[in-house]
Amino acid sequence: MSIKKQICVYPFDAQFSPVLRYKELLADLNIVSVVSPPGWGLAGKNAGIADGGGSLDYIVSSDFDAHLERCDSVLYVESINQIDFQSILLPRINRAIDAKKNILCMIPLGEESVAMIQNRCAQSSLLFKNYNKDNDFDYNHGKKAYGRFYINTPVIFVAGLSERAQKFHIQLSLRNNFMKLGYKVSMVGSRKYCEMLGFHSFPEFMFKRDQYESNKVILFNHFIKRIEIDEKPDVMIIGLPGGIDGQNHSARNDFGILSIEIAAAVKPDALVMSLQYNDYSLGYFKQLSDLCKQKFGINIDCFNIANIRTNYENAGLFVHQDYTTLHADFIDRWKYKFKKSDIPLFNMFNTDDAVKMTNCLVNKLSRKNDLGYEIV
Amino acid sequence: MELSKPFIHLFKNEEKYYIYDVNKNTILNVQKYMYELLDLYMQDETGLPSDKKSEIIQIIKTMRKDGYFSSQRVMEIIHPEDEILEFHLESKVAMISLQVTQQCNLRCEYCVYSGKYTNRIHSNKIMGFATAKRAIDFLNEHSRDMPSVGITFYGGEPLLQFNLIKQCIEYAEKSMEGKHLIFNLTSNATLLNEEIISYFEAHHVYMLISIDGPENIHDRSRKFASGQGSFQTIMNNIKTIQEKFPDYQKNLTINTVINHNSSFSAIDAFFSNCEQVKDIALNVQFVKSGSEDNIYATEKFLAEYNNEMSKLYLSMAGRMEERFISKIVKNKKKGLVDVARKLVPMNCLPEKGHPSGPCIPGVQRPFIDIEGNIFPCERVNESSGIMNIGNIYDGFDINQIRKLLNIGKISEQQCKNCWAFMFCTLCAASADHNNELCPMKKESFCNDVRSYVESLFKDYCALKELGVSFEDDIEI
Repeated sequence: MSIKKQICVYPFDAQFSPVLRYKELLADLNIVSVVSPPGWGLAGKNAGIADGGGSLDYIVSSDFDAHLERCDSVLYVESINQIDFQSILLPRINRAIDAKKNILCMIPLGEESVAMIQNRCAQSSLLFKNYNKDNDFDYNHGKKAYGRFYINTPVIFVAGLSERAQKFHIQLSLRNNFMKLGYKVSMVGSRKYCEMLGFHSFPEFMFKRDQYESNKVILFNHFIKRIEIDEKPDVMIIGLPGGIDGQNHSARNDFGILSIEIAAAVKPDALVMSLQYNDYSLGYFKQLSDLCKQKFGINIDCFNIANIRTNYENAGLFVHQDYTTLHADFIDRWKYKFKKSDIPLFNMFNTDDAVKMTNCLVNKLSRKNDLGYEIV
Repeated sequence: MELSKPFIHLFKNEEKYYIYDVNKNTILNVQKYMYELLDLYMQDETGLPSDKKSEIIQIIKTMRKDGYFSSQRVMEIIHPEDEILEFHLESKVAMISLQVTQQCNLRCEYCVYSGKYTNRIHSNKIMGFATAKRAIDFLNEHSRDMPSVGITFYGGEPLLQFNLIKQCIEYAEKSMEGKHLIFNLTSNATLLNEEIISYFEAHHVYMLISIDGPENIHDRSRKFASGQGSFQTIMNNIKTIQEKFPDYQKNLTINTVINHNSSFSAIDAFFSNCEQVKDIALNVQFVKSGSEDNIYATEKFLAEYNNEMSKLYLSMAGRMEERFISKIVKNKKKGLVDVARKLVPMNCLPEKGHPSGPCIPGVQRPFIDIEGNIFPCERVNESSGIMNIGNIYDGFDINQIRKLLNIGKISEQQCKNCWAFMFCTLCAASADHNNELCPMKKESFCNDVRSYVESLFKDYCALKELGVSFEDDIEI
């Protein structure tokens, strides 16, 4: 059994929170500390404050050098807050190498930076691992495929109406809970570094411009089929990057183009839809479910309400997105008014709800027809 | 059966007739006959002959089939951000204005601290670094969801505390590393020297400088405590910037406060032609009403101003080049573009809503006085207890903030029935009276607001008639 690396995470914010909450999925890494730049308002606070999802076992520090001493590796992570690579990140990568720490990297790096870090690490016999790289499906690139395979394993889509709707958290929670129930799970996550968590990242070819969109549909179908054949899972979970809503003029959610392609490639058997917070009416959920029936061929099985609110008034055509983080218990209080309705509403920061969502999906996917027959 | 009266506002522009439908948030161009009938009906239906009344009812029914002329009002006055107010205050504070001193080396006639307005007066009090440091930490703790934040130095004359400003900038840059910081300063520019300019250039500080026009106009109001005018000192300092720190000029904005009984053409000529100022961005304000000397515009001023506004409209319609337009009125274009932006068609007014007007106190631009008390902005009366929304030690007073945010509640019926609901500009400051939120004081401004909004609508409609699209400024 290999010894786990003791890692310091930098720069920590809400983008890394789902991984921190499900850190047991990091097979060979043990997180000993999380550090943020002092200007991000997290220093000295419980790490759970970053995503508003409840306490975690970490207090965020702003003292990067002090925490270098407690670890053997530094994991440089993606963040929602922008950070200057030259003036803030690169000096801390160099300081970590000087302090003889392994460098693990989830952030996109230019070729020059990769080469420099690789050289410096090699000279000091340190490990450099770059998780954020193209992990293209190993397919026969030149061959144009015409047909789609039938996917026999039940497939769950985890989609967001918009970006920043807690999708990755839901994916990790479902994976965790399904595995605890004894199911074998194959997952394609909506981020680029999912291999470090034991599952597949979303394939890069889906974002490339050198493929016809129709060809991407075929390739994605083949990608999923390859996983099904190799891993023989009981269930497959696919996280859909971006948002599915192309209706809002002031918020760019990739206009739902990617989700249409994915749905054309793979037919889902269950659909989890996550929405940012708004004071929705009961009728809205029904409307949204009908929309998904048209897009994906399936109604929504579970709604998650994320503790994020976009301030659309400020998020204009050329302005960055403007978000407010809410507390998770605010969502619990808000959704209480739907208690008597049959809308399957969940708050994934509520551990009971997380289990209930898993059970809801298990029930859906294992439901037999009225006569009890199955397809062989 | 009696029909409920539609929630609309009628206005006309020369020979054009318009109806603003409040529920649809849309302006309709209508025929004169329809306008006159509706005008009679909306004022007093009881005196109308029955044939006219039938005709009006038929018009209303037809419009209602098309989705217009609803009589719906907002049922409950509550600000849409009220339910998540605590989260905005927790992580969305966008900037702080620090009152680094209450001292000033000038004694401007129209200064809000001159004693002529309901506010504090000049004093020797200054902010200590411990207070400033705590205020910066407060900003850091409450801006997690903001990608960038601003720190503005205010006074009195903040340059009297240049050393404190340096300490603040250096502390903020260190303690808020990783956050994009924007430093601003509002100054009379009389105390600028090479050391200060060099420092501000190195730390990318934006400066708002007050100049009211050519020397004879500027020096009428903006004088040193000795009584001497400040114009020459300021011009010399700007010349130093242009000669020795030319790149820093782009960080300057001039704020001009125009007195209505000044010469519009003289001020305009100054800002267009004077070498020191013509290439610096200009921000225009007019002397605040409500001082002891009530300010009225002269006929000449109005004539010149209106002439420039007409030229602005021609320029927006593509019929006159922008270079012929006075810099003083160019800012007005933004107001009209804002109207166009806000006239987004709706289905109907929401059940719960609040008149447009209040910002979220404590979030957009909280002002911190020398003692660390927090106010919604630097424009409110600092000596009013009702405007105090907390302090940097104990935090925000969320109950008080909620009252100021939902200021429409104190005039609920009036607001619900006001056609300018979506365009109101009144905030809690308009209701501040003897340490209370006074409905009568607030309502005293309502007619002016409605007049202003109607004038914006008229200008908007006139420009649309000229073919202005309001989208020409979008860069694609």
